[in-house]
Amino acid sequence: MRAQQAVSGVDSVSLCLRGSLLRVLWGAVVACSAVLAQDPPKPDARKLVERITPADPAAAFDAIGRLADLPAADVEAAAAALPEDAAFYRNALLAELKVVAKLGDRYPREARVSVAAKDRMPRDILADILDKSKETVDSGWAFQGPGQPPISLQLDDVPFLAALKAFCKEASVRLQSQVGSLMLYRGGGDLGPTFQFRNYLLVVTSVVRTRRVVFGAGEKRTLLISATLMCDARSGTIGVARLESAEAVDDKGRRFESAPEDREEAPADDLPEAAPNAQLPLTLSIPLKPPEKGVDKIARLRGSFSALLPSATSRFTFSEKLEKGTKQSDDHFEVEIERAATVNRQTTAVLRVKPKGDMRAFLKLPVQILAKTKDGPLRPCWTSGRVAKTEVEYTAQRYATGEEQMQGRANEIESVTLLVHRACDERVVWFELRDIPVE
Amino acid sequence: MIRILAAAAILALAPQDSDVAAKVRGFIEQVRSEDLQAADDAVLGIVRLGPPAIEPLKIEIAKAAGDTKFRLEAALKQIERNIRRERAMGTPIRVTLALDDRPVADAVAELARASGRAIDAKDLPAGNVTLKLDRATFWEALDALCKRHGGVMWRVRGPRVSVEKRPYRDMPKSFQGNLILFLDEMSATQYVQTGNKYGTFSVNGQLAWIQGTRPQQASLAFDALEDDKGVVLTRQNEGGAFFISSSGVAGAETERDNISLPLAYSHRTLPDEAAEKLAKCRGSVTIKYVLETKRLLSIANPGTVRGQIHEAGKVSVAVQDLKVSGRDVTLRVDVTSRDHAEVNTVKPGDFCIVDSKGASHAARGSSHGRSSMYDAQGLSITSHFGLNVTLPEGVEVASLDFTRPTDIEEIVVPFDFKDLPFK
Repeated sequence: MRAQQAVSGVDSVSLCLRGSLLRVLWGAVVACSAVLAQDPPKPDARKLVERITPADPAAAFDAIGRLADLPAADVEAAAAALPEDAAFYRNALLAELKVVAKLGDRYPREARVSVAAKDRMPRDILADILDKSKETVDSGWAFQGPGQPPISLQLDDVPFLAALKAFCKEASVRLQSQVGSLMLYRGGGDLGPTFQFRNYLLVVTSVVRTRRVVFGAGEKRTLLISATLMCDARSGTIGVARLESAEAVDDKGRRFESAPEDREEAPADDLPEAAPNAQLPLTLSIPLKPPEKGVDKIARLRGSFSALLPSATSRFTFSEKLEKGTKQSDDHFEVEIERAATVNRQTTAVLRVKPKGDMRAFLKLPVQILAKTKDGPLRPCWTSGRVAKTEVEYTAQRYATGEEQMQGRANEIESVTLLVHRACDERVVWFELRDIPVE
Repeated sequence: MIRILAAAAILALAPQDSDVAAKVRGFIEQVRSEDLQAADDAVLGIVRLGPPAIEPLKIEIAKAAGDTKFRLEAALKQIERNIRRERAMGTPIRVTLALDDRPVADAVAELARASGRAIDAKDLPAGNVTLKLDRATFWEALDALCKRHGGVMWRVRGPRVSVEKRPYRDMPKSFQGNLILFLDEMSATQYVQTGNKYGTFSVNGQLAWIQGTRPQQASLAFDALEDDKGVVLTRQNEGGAFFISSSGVAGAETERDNISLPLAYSHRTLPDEAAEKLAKCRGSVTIKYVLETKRLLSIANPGTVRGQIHEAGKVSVAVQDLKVSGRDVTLRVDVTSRDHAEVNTVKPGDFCIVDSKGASHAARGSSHGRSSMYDAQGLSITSHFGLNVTLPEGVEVASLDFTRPTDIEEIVVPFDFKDLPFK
């Protein structure tokens, strides 16, 4: 609309102009001003839906990710045209629209990145990606020692984690997620089977064949696929609640049967010694029955899982007084510092949390502890919790980041933040992994 | 009235005591014998008389001299050690049952009554049990009862024994006195990764005992472990990404109130894919009982001496923090030594709080990690302990005592399970 007004405004002026050259020049100015005044063109839902085919799952999920930002009615109408062989993607798309509707303004935005780098130093390209995405990665360990050769990287409007994955491959650096922080290490580069969607990168970390014999009760053979969920900062994800569904097939289309894991529940009257949710893992375990002999890979593994996004959180930040006995409380919890100190570049904070309500209910809540050093970022800590009758004592350890180590920065502890997520939304994420070796 | 009863009791005991005294005196001549075998037999005879022989023996020791005195003192020490041993390991409980078509819940209650051991049993299924046992051990009786019913199974968790509604499992097991050793499961795990295949084979079991006794440590070792395809599962693999000791011994200090200890064995050699059973599964569990401890250190008012270093033999102890919340006392204690092995053997149970009424309360807890430091004398290792003690009402912390075992009894429970089926 604004562009149309700009064009009609200048047309009357052009009538006064004489001479073809001037007219051509003026025409160019008009065209440029019209382009500049326009909003970025909105992708067409139908064109994006056309990119959804089983032949290219990466492109299909990229399209689903983009469609999630468009009006739901347009997308639903376009999705109806998807053929039957794309039913999985149609379901994934419709499920994502439900997530958008459920989370509303809290639906995580994604950072998209374009890179056009030719023969540039990896460190500079990474800095460019991080600058454009406003995301953080601890790369201190990746660029130590002798300098790396320049690399070239061409990326056009891809999600941050897709950019990071492509960068790692080109620069031969290894991407890992530790306690929710993204870390880069030297060596490696190819992450193996992965799935990338909006704020998430799912990386298969291990494939394990297990033969378990319970004496007197028979044997069970399992093929366990384990994957780590890497998240960008915008995802707001603190853990994986559960695997919702999984379907694996070999290259002849034969299905791998699922093999539910044996879980033994502790008796209800036993209070655990360790807090079970002191630190939720960002991992996914997919148990299957091992294939017949001769099947050497899972050609396609499709499924969904629920990620946890906090919706109500008690936050306690201790910054000025980190002495033992310093207390804070809210309506739900009382928190006391037992100790907080940095020794040999390792910060340890011990916090006692006393729930004002039921201890068992508290033990089901995800708890995070983050620590900030003087010159370093606020960073999640390794956390464990010991349960006493009325309180849980959390020990949190924050190690120096690679950058802090490299630069020899003083990392005296400056603040400790405890987060108790009292309620979480479950956000279903659909995924598809290809070519997972099982033999 | 009480005096009359006491006198009657003394009269009743007197002949017995004098009998024992007479027996001790009878052995004295044999102890003096120049025939060494005869002298040794006499000492053994005295030891077999047990605790009643202590007082008469002390009288005879006071009168004796030379080798005779030496031998009698050895007999006295052995009797006293046997008392400590029995206290630590417990007198074997024997159960005699004659259950005739009794509901399983009643049968479990009857076993609990006959053994004097609490057994948790909730929501047990229908079905009656007929079982006759003569002087079976507690664990034999419990297992036999569950096996006879078929729809219930026993379980040991923490300090409790329970019988639950689930199918009976006939696990490979071995009974000895108040102990049961059983193998729970085995697993073979193969990691599939690009260009790198490696695996772990493990056997997990448990050692359980009865409340009131407490082994300090146990370890599992296999002499023979082989599947029916001839794969020796204790065989060293060549090369590989990581290595697990072939001795495969795993052990841990027992939690104070728990009545079981997990046992685990791991190795890198995997059974054959087509194997259907363990053809050989032979080995032993070595169990250590602490019979005697010695107090090496007593720190008075430990809450007021934070950070101070107290020497205790080869180690030094420093109380870093002490907090009292109601009846709960929590401590942070550092134990430092240049002798690494010595630090390794220090356990939370080596500490106890002595209250203001003089009662001792053993600490529970765990080691929170270690740190090391180099100085002019070399490397020292510090183990950081988090300890907790619950005191009775109305008392305060008087001191923190640090004790170490000075006499340990080691017993070996062998097992030999043949043809253990996988399915």
